[in-house]
Amino acid sequence: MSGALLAALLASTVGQTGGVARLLVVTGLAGEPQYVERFGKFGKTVVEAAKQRWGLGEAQVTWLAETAATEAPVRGRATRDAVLAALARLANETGPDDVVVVVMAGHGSEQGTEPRLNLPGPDLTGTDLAMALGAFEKQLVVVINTASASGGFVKALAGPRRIVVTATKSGFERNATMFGDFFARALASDEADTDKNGRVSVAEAYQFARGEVARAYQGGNRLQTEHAQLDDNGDGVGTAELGATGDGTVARLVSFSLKAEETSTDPKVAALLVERRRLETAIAALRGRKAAMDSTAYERELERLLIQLAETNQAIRAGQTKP
Amino acid sequence: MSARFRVGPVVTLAVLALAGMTCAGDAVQDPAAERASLTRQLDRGDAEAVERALSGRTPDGLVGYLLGEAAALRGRLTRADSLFARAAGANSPVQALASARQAELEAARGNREAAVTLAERVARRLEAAAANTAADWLALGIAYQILGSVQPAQFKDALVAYDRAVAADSSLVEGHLRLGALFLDKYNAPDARAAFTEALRRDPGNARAELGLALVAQFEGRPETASLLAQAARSGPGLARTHAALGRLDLDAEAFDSAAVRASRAIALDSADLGGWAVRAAVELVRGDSAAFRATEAQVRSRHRAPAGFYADLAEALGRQRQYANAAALARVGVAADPDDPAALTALGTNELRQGAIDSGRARLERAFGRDPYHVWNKNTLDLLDELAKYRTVTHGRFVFVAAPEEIEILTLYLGPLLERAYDSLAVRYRYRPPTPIRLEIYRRHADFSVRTVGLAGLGALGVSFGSVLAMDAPSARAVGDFNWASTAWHELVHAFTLGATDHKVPRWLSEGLSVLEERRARSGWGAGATTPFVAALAGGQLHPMTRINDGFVRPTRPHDVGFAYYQASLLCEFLETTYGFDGVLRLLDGYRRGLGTDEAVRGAFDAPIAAVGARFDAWLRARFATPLGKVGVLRDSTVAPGELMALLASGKRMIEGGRLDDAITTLERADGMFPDMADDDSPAWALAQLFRQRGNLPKALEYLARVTRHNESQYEANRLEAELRTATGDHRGALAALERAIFIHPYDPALHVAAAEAARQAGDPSVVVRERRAVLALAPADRAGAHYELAVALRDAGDRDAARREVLKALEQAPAYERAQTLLLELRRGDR
Repeated sequence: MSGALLAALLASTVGQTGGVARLLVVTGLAGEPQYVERFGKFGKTVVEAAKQRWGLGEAQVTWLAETAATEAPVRGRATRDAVLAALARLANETGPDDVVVVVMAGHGSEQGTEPRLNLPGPDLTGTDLAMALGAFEKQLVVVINTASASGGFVKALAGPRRIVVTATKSGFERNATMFGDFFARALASDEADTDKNGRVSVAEAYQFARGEVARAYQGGNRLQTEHAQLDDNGDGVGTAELGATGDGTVARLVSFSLKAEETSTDPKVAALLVERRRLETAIAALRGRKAAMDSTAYERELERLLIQLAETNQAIRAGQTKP
Repeated sequence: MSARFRVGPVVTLAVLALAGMTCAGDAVQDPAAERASLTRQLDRGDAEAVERALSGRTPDGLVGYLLGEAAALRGRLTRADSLFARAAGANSPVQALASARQAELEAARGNREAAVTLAERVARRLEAAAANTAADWLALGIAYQILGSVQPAQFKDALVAYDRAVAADSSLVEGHLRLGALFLDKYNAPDARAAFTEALRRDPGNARAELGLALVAQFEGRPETASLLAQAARSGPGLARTHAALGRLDLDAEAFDSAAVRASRAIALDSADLGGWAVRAAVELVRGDSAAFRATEAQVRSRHRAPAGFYADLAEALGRQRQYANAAALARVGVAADPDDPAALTALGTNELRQGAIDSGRARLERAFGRDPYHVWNKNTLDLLDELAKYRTVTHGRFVFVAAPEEIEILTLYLGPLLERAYDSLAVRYRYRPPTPIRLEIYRRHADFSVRTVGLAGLGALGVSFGSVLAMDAPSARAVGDFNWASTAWHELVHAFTLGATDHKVPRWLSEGLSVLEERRARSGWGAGATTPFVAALAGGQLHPMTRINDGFVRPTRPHDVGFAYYQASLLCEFLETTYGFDGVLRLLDGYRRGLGTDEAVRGAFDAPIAAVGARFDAWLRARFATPLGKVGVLRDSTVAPGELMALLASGKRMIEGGRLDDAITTLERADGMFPDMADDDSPAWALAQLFRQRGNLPKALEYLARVTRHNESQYEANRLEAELRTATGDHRGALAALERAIFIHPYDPALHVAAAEAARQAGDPSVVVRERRAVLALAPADRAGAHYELAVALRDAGDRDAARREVLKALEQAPAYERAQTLLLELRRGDR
């Protein structure tokens, strides 16, 4: 399936489902106290964000950690079998077009060409995960692996209806990563909502985390040892900087939010909502033509449309607050 | 490269047969021993001993060759040539070697064509021969080396030939010496050192080998250069090149009288060697004695047909004296004499680059590199220029900034206004205006800055001034807290004033001293401050007296020397200003501009001999540090005998570790009273600030933090903490000042700029809010729409509604649904507020 076709499909399906249906968080072996704390904080941040910002209920969130806690939010020990069982369960519990998000943190490695996430007992390999994800035939699956040496998961997991994000570009980037910390921050705040639509898309969270990683390394005057990548066109080749086309097309349409499309029973407001959508589409189209346009003409037209959009939005707000 | 010059496998190896010293009619008991003895004497520069020993012998064959070497050693080139010609007669064992030396003599006179013709003849003959002796391999190496001046790849063949000479006769010291010299000539210091060391192992006390090792050390910038040269001069007082090298060292140390004496000695020993002449000429130029220079130049011209190397040496020497325009002018004369001379082209290109003529400089270096592809400085510089081509240029008033695209906006946002202000205030103070535009190159990688400055990586400095061209490390080139980039830029700009005001004749101590002093005058906390090692050095009498203050910069012998020199020189300048007024300092600068030496310039400026001024300075210095002087400890021979202050600090640290915080505070406050200016990471003030903060005593914490940030320009954490505490106590203006200081240490944290914008807003300074919001945008934040919106708000609040409208449109272009931006757009359109 081509990226464009998939994007067109997802634009509607995700809109209908409204956002993420299930979340699985896996935090692997820490090894040292500092990583126990970091991975724990990561898991907690993501789970809290899912509940508070995406509107997921207790039953829709599963966190498997190195040590099984007797109390929530950790549901069980993050062994290979437990992870695979959790995925099998999610495949049964979700339906077509549901968005399933799998987020992983820990230490990774690569043996031969097989990427791994270090878990208690046998590691979780790229092959294991790919087989488990095979059960999600109709769902959209987002896999975010923030572990070191996670780059190989892109090739292992790439496919239709998949968004795969890894903290590193290959298995050779073995140092502990910072990407996960910033990705979690993106999910838990509005910082990454760069288009200010009230939703943080997978692409926005990815770009935010990637940029902050670079800034952190630069600030510390250190050589950057992790380079995140994203694949959503299914070709198994990750992209670092997302462009207007190629990888990122789908990731822009999937958001970590349950904010539904605004509707109104008031015919006047409903008409304004239609007008707003028309203006948003016109602005997007204008931006697409920017490179080919005279800059003065572009700016004039942009300002005209943006003023109309602002006025329309203002009218919508006024209509919604009427007694 | 022509294949006929290659050393091919057909040429067989032979054993050196330099025997045959015995000539018809001569009776020599042990010719091999005598030959070895005479060679050793030549290597020690004792030409006279050789001439005495061979006096009365028929100058054929080896005798003629050795006499030729003795004559060459004393610069009697015509006689040397005729002796070599005779030695090169039929059946001579040194026939090829003598011919090769004739070719070298031609090269020494600047007759490149003749030299190449002779060298080709030697090479052709030896390549065609069925067997070669060690002497022949030596001759072949010399021939190839000469041919290398027109075909650079032949230098490799020369190396092979010298290697084979050594293989043919391992006792042949000359082979190792030639190898060492060639390696050094091609900038390969490790192999050069190995070759000279081997020569010295085979002939302990060989002055040429010792000279070679000294030159390797000099090439590597090692401090032992002077002692190695002195050793070489003791072993071989008759070697002119050693005296010329010593003269160059004196020249670099701005010890011009001594340099002139060394130059005269070198010329007296060998007037054909241009090294001594170059030192003499440099001294004459530095002193402004153009008549003497013209006479020297005429002498050189009478000895060398196209002395491009002389002008290149001279340009290099003047470049080291920071006289870049004069250096370029001289290098240009060298290039005119020989348009293909790589040294002259390099000197010209380098000095053009130092004056900001990038395209022209690059063209020269490319041409030089074509002639000498082994030149590592040129290779590095050309690579750097490729990197520089990716940089962006931004003009701000009288300044042109060149920096990496990722950081030019954030840096120029501050540097533009800062340096404009600096220029205006310094122009008034120095009554001089350096030529503009002033170009400041800011390097993201320290290695690039280092190459820009000295052609090689590894320079320890942060910035450099070539006059109106400045270069420095970007803050991203170093770890946070390593340095203050704003004060560094200010410091380098001051050099543009002091260099320009003196026609580039200001000595290092005064130039650096004034730059550091001006930093301190510009902002509280900027510029080097007093440290415990400095005070300990003062207590131990380890600082240079005023009469030798320049030695700390140009002749450092101990690790602390340069650091101490900067601070001491700034204190001397401060003393001169407070004692004699700044007019006195201006008179001093003017004295240097007029070419006076330090003694006369000081006397002219302050109407007192330098010894008297120095004595007053010593007393002033001791009075200034009277409080810590007896408490800090004493530095002697790089070892500090700790004083009471150190004991208290150690004790305070133990108390903190043991949780005895009250005792720690009492102890550290006692220590602080002994040296209130101490502000480094080990200072009592920094420890006390943290202790009081821990206890919630914010006023006391702030009192000590202010002490740290007032004396330490690069303490990032202290400034951040001070900003945090001042914000908490409602002192927004104080918080803003602390944040600005932190930004001048590390400008890349958007949170710092957001905090500064908020502090400025609270303090009612809308223009600073705008600057800080621009800074956030310059850092390419993830939330660009948000950053544009915040800037739009700041612009609106500052009264610039048009700019605010443009910014809010940028925000909405990226995020059309951004409701707050939409509201602002409509507000701006309506003309609200």
